[in-house]
Amino acid sequence: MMDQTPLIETVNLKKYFKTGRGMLHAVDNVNFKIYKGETLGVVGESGCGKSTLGRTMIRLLEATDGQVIFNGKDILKCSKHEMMDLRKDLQIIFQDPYASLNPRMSVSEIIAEPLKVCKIYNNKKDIDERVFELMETVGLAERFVNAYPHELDGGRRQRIGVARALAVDPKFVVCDEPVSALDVSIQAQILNLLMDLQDKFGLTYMFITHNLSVVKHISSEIAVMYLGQCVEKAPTDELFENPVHPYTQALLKAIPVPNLKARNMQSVLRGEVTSPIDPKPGCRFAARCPYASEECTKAELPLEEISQGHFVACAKFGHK
Amino acid sequence: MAEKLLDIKNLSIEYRTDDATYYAVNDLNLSLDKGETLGLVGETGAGKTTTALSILRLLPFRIGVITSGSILMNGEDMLAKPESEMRKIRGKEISMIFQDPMTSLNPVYTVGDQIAEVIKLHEEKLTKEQVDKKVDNLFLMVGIPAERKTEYPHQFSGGMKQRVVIAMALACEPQLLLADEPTTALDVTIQAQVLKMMNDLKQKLNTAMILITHDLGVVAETCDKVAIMYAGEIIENGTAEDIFEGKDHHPYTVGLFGSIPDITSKAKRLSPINGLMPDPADLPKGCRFNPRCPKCMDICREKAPEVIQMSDTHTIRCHLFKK
Amino acid sequence: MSNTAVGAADVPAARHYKKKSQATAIWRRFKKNKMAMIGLVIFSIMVIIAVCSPIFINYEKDVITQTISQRYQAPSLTHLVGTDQFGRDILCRVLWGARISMSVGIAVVALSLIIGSILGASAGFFGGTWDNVVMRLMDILLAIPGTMLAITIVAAMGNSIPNLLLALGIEQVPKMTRIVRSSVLTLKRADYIEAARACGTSNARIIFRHILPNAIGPILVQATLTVARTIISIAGLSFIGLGIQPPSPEWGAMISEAKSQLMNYPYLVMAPGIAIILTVTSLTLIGDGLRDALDPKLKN
Repeated sequence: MMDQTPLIETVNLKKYFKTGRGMLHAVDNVNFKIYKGETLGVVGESGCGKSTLGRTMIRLLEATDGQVIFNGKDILKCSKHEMMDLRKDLQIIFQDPYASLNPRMSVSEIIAEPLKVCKIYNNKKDIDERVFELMETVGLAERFVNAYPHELDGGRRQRIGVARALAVDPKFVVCDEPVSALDVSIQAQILNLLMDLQDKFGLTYMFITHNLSVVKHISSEIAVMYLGQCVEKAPTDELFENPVHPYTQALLKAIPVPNLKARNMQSVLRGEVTSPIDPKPGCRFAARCPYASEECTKAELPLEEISQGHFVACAKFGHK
Repeated sequence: MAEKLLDIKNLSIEYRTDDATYYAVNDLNLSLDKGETLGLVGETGAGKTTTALSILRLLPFRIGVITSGSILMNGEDMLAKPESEMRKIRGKEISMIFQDPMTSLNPVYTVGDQIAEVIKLHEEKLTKEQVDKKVDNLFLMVGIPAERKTEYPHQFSGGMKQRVVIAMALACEPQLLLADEPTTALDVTIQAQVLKMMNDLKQKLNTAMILITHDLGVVAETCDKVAIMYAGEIIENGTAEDIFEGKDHHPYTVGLFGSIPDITSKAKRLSPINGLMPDPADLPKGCRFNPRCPKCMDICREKAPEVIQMSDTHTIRCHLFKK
Repeated sequence: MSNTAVGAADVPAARHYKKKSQATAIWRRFKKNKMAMIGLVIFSIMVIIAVCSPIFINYEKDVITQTISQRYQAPSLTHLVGTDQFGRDILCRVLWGARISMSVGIAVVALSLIIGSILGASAGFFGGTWDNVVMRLMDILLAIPGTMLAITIVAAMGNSIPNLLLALGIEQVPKMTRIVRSSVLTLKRADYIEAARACGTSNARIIFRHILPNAIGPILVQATLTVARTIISIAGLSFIGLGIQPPSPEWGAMISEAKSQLMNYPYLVMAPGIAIILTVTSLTLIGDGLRDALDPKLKN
């Protein structure tokens, strides 16, 4: 660990949505600690709440309950005025390189926008200089400065998104599936870029993805989410070498590996994701879990530390 | 030797729009036997979907033009058939599954009706009861409770929708199934379920399949043969063993493997391929990969490479392997 | 740093790169549409006529002055379309009429655009009770037939230009509000709006800098169609005597004045009639052409 106190921390964070059919538990009692310069990978499939979590942490969505402590302060209780200042430190990179850029703004306008809104520079000259500097940092050729998003490919558009997030010198960046919509070879370019930027600027990331192979490269710690709950959390190598929660195991086994010797289609997870609306207490994976028992749905299961830094929420395997 | 099910020779396809002419596919050679699965691998814009659509003659009217080559199915020339015959073939002898399950189903008809429609189109002599029975069987085959056939697409999840689409494609027991990235839009655990189901069905019905994907992991799990496409050409072709365990590869193939984050490897940084796939309207001279190739030689910039036969089954289109 | 985009290193230090806005792409697509271009040409001629007519037409002499001795003259070299029942040159009157129709049309569009945008954008963006209030109000206005509403207002409040504008404007505002609101509703979900919020952008800036520029497409199409509709409405009102009053050469009023002579001197009615047809058709062609050209079938 770099420091003793985490840069950002969530305490029992909850986000619920009221729907016609009941209360949708998108994020339920999530406790994360992320230290400066590190990357927490948040993995899970559709509906697990990881995107909602990312947005709630930087207050793009208002949390239902819980705390988000950044630099010692609970940002969920900050006033609008205080948040304006904090926004510079908390940024986000989006998944869809097509939808995340304003089609009517040029590359330089998009990157300059945060600078203008946060009033970082006063004159056009400084803003322009900073835009060129950012473009160079993310590997965008100068000649694109007045281009429009629709003229560029997905990889370059995503670089614009990264430049925009970096413009205000953030400390914490939520990366919401930043490479999922890109081709494989471009994914690798952008991942490398993100890792280089982290080294250069000491950034702290929350890297959200459904792709376990991608997250292995970039994260120091990984949290696995299922239907709004965190079911397992461990340092990266430990999670891959020793996955404990049945869902984590199923997830790892389901990844198709580009290796003929790994052909294994037998142990496939059955069933579908259950509904996040008014869920029953306890583990939400119980309906699909091969090891489920009555214990699993009696009461809420907290994350327990089964070994150094390795947390699991499981009635059967979640004990030392 | 048994006749090949599908034999494509020297296929070239252009897209002619107002703005420019795009050379989407160039001199493509592909063949498939009964019951085999071919993985057609490549990134966006490589021409994989174009190739599949051309087999069914579903290229955009007047814009997509097959400029040369032949497509033979069971020895018959597909390009010479009139449209009326092609309509009988689509859905019966050759079926296609498209990528996005969210938009592949018609939202105003029940899923049962949509599957029944395929059956009724190709087997007109069946009675209503016989059609219903077939629909029920198909639902069983793809693992959906038969009672759900009166529901509408929006009531199903992505994985279930894709199963319905697969049921529609297999309804008439086609000889060839074209699957265009069928699991890309699905979660990884659902992908595993759907791939397993497709594999089981394929074996049961002895259907040949062309699986289009950019995911080499999926290819490793399901395919007997692999063809790798780049900028409209097949640059490497072989059995799964040739591609995954062979020692000689096209530099693009090497790059593809290097770009994949592999959970079994310990490398910290990925080694992606520099640059981008070329604009199909403005292709580079010589080998199409030369601007990005780490092993580019002078001849690569001048002359397009020929297909080199590395073994009985393995071919590579590259100057590096010229004997 | 590894693997930057191709070309990052080989660009000279000159920092002036041409700005190719989306307008050029839209213009290119518009140009390909023959019918739309025809419409544009015709309408442009109308506008030029409207603006320049004072240069070669003297209002008092050519348009208003009645010379009874010259009435009902057939088309000739001195009077290209003949003269009307008061001896006035028909061509001059029709050309001058363009000014009236254009100015009222544009005034109504401007009014509906401003009010409609404010109401529609705020309703769509903020939602909730305000949205409900605005939309129900618009529903009420839409439920009243436009012509009836116009007649009622003018009849009740008197026949003046401001009242006329009010009457015609009220008919158009709900339509514009709906269009703006639906555009805003779709656009506000976009990721780039969230990105703007993530930097702390104010709501006002989000609406004006990010949402409205992207909503311009449908708004522009609606605006052109509004001008067309307004010109017809004015002609209609004037025809029944509630719009622009004679001796102003408003096209509808001209038709009304001449309707009794339809059999004897058809050109008295045809001339302003053709003017209306040309203007409205060309505007509709432009509107349709714009709609097609704005269609985002951009190949990515």
